[in-house]
Amino acid sequence: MALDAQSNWNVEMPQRLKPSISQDTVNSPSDVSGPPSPKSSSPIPHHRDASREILLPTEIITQILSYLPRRAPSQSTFYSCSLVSRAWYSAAVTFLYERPYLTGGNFNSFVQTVCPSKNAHIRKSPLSILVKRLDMSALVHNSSRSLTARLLGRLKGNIEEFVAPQSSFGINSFAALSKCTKLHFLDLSLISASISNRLLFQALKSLEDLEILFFPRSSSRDERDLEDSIPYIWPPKLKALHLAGGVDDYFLTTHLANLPSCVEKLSIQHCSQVHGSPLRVALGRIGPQLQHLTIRHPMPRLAPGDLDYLLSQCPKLIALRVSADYITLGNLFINCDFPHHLRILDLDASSSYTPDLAPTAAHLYFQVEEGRFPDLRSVRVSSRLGWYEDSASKIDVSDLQEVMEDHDSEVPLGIPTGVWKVD
Amino acid sequence: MSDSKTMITLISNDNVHIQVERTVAERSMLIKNMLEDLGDCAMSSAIPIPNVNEPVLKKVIEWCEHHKNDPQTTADDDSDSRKKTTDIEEWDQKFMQVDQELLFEIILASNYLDIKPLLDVGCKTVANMIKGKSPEEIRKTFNITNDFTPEEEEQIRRENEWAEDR
Repeated sequence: MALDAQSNWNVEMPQRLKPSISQDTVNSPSDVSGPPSPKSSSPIPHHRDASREILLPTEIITQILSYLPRRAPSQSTFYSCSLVSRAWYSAAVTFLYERPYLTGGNFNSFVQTVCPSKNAHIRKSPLSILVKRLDMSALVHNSSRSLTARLLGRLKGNIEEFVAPQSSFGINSFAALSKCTKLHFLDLSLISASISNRLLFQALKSLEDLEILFFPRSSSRDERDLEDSIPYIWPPKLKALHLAGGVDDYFLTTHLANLPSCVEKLSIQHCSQVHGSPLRVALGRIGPQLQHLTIRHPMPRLAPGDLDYLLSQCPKLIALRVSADYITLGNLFINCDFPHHLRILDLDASSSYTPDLAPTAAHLYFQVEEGRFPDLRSVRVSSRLGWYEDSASKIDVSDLQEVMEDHDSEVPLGIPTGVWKVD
Repeated sequence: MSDSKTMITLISNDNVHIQVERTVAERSMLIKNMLEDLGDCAMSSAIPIPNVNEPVLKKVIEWCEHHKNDPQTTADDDSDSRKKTTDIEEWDQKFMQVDQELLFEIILASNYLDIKPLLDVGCKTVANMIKGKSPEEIRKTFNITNDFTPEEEEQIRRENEWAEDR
C-alpha cells in the first residue's frame, strides 16, 4: 500500500473539496498545487487500477485457512489453496496434512507422498512431519499390516492421534506404535484381529502423553502367568478409557483397579467375560474419581441389579449412561449419598430388554422433587423402558421435566433441559 | 481515562487528517497503546498511520464506529470458540461487501492496527469465498499471481493428488 501512496493521493484529492465532518485540513505540499481538475471529482472512492495485486503475508493466509472447518469437504479446498501461489502453498500444506481424510480411493497416493520409499533413510518426505492425526478408520482392505506398520513408523515422531484400521493392524505395528510418543489419542476399537493385552501394554509404556484410549473390541485372553499378577502400567496422563473386548474379571480387579487418578471418563461395553461383583470391586476403587461413566450392553454376564449401587460408588459423576438391563426399579436413584450432582442421565436398554423391573419416571421424579439430584437436567431414555406407554407414566415424565426446568431456572447449568425418548 | 467524547486526529499515509472519537480509535490496540504511552500530549498532536491510506482508514473507522461499544476481546479469547464458525453477523457481512482489493486492504490495515475482531471478520469473509473453489478460481477472485514454475506446480499437484476432489 505504501508504494501506492501517491496514486491514492491523486485519486482522493477531489474528495477533500466536499464538506466532510471527519476531515480536517490537509497540510501537504500538494495542498498548494491548486484545485484538482473538475472532471476527476467523481464520488466513487475506489476506482483504482484493477490489476493491482495485494500480497497477504503467510500468517494472514494461515488465519484465513484456520476458519475453514476441519472436515473432509475442506480437504479439496486446502488442495486448491496449495496450488494458488508460493505464499498460499506454505500456509495450506500445514492444514492439508494435519489431518488427512483417507479413503480407499486416495490412500495409496497418500502413502506415495508421505513414505515414497520402503527405506526410510533414502527419501524422507518433508510433508510427513506435518501429519498430526492419522485416521485409518475408513480403510477396509486398502492397507496391509506391513504398510500400516511402515506408515506409522514414518509418522511416529509427530502424530498425536491415531485411529487404527479394521483389518490391517497386526502385532508388527506395535513396535512403531510404541514410538509414537506424542500420541494423546489412540483408538484401537475397530481392529478385528485378536490383540494380546500384554503386548498392548508393552507398547503403551512409552506413550506417556496418552490421554484417550479405546481398547480393541476383540483383544484375546492372554494365558495367565506369574507376570500378570503385577498390574499393568497405565499411561500416566490418561483421562478417558474406553474398555471393550477381551477384558475379564481378573483384568478388572488387578489392572483396572490400578488406573491412574487422572482418569475421569470410563466406558465399558462389549465385554462378554465381565461379571458383576469384580466390576463392583473395580468401581469401589476407581469410582470416586469418575465424572463420566458408560456401562452399556452387550455385557452378557451382568445380571439385573448388578449396577444398582453405581451412584453410591461414583459420587462425583456428572454424566451416566447405563443399560437398564443391569439395574432394578428405582434402586439406582435411592442407593447413594444425597445430594448427588449428576447432570446427565442416559438410560439405555438392549433389544432383549423386558421392562418388568424397569426404573420409572416416577421413581426418578420423586428423588428429583425431594432435591436429591439438584443438578440433573438431561434425561434420555430408551423407548424400551416404557416411559411413554400409558398416560399415567407420560404424566410422570412431564412432572419430571417440569421439576428439572424449575431447578434450571434457579441454577442454570447451560445444559439442554428435558426428558427425551430414544428409539 | 479522559472523556469518551475526546477527539483525536489520525493522519493517513496519503496525508489526510481524520478526526475520530478516542473511544472509536481505541478499537485499535496499536492506537490505544500509543495513546496510553503518550499520555495527554497525544490529544493535541495528530497520530500518523503510515501504512494505511485514507479510504481504507475511513472504512476501518466506519467499522470501529459501529462496534465501539462491543466488549473488548481478551488475549485468551483467541482460540477455540470463535474459530469454529465462519458465521458473520449481518452488519459485518454488508460492511465486507467491497471489491477484493479493498477487502485485502482492510485485512492488512486491521492486522497493522491490531483490531482483532475486524481481522477475524475479514479472514472469515475470504474463507467463505474460497470454499470449494479451484486454484485458478481463487487466483482470479483475489487477483493473485501464480508464481510457481511449471515444474513446481506439477510437483505440488502430484504430491497432493490424494487430496484432490474426485
